[in-house]
Amino acid sequence: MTPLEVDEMELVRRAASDSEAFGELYNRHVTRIYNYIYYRTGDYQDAEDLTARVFQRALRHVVNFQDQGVPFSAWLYRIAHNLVANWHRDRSRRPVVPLEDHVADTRAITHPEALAIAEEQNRTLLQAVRRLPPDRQQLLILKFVERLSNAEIGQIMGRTEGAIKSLYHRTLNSLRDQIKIIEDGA
Amino acid sequence: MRASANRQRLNRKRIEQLLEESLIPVEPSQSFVSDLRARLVTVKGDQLLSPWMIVLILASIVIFIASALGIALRVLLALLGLVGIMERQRRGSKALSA
Repeated sequence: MTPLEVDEMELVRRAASDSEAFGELYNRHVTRIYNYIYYRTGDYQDAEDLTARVFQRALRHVVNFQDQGVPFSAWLYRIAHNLVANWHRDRSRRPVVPLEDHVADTRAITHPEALAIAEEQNRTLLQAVRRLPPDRQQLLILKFVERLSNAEIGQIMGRTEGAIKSLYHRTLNSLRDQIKIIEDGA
Repeated sequence: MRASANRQRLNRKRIEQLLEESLIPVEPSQSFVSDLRARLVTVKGDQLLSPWMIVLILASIVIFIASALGIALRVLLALLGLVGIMERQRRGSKALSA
């Protein structure tokens, strides 16, 4: 364990009785959990609502957290993963308009035609990402948004580094297929 | 992708490049982050019962009791003085009439 992880485990131990310690854990992880949920839901409001629920649940159950060599962030991601899964289940019961309006940072592109192409590419890609199984979406978010290494992703997802490499390879192939399906359907 | 004008084949490198361009970190609004922190930590926090807070409350109670006692003693002394003056006046008028 790195000194930061040791320090984090100390914070986790204190968090059950010391709200300031929980506040410090919150400060460290709120943005990454928000990012994860945002890319899984595609909606700012839902991302805020679910992020709040993740930390409320974490606060209630932090006393039960056991140090088994897994980082605290992995525990938070697991809570987020479960809440997002419930959110998708609830949403599938109610007809809603799919939202694919996230636009990547295209401010650097000034030419209108180039901008339109970039935005369309972005929309198609995100649509394809959201059609992937949850574990593959999680892998892409952790790799590209959080910039984590395969080893760190493995710790969070409870798999070996080799398994993550293999999953990543299969994910890119699935993504290419999904993009093709979307483009052929358009 | 259809949109890519040069119709380049979507190879692994190209997909990774597109992912890097599209999956960019987003920042939650500052008001959301601080409001949620307040809900989780400040309001629920146990700082309300911190030792300094207890000392402050006890000191306030002691000061309040001391000032209340001071006022009560002053009122009592004033009443006793008034009674004394009235008694002296009563004796003085009795002596004159005798």
